[in-house]
Amino acid sequence: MKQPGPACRFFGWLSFCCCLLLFAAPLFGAQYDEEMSTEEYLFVKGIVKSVSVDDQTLTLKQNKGPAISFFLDEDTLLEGFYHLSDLKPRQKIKVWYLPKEPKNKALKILKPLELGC
Amino acid sequence: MTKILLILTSILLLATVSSADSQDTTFSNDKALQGLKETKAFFDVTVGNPKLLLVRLKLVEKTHSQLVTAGVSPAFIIGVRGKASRFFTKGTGYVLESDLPEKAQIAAQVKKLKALNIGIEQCSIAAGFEDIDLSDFLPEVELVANGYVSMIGYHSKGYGLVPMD
Repeated sequence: MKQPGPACRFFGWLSFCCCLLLFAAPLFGAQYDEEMSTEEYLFVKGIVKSVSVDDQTLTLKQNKGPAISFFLDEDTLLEGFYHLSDLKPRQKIKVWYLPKEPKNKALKILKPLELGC
Repeated sequence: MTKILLILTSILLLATVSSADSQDTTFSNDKALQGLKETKAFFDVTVGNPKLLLVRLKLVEKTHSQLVTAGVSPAFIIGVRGKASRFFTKGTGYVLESDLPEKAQIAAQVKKLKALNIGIEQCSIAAGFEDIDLSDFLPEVELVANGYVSMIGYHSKGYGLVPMD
């Protein structure tokens, strides 16, 4: 029986990895679906106070609490918008984050749909 | 020479302002109000910019006052929903610190409107979407189950719909 060539083996492994990622993707996406703080991350919601695209930072004002600042990095998931510059003051947002000094690390930022109601 | 120029400029400025004032008084709504003894309006207030919201609420008061002056009795309802809801709450919550002066002015304006017997209704669905505790609304504000139902109901009763988004 003829053994598969290196190119064939490479594409075989590539297909296997792609399939694995395809099934795992929803799990990664669902990582921060719970709107609550856990042992692994904290959750907060409020309105955008300010945004700095240059510093990649965001400050959120809680409805009845103080403002909290976050920094974004390449791992921060954005949902409901594409760029930090899309966020404007007074817009509602939800943030999942890791507490850090002086700024917290944003894991996921969600801008909910504006329902117009 | 400078003094004369200053005096001339002041006279011109005063003339412009007074002419603008007199222009305001020369217009009327006689054609629209002819034969009317009373009017009914529902103001759909959704605007989330506090400065704009304050202007709108002052315009509602002005409209009420002009109708009364014209001898027409106004029955007004202000329906609040959307992002405007945040500015109809008590205290300093739900808005940015920079918006607090306008929030206080809006609360004062709400008192004035209520004194004119203008109803202010807040949609509780909108309150839920904005994560506002129902107990946090101003005492002058009446909570209703659904702002759209109010709008439809008042419209069916002959209230003219005035969108203020």
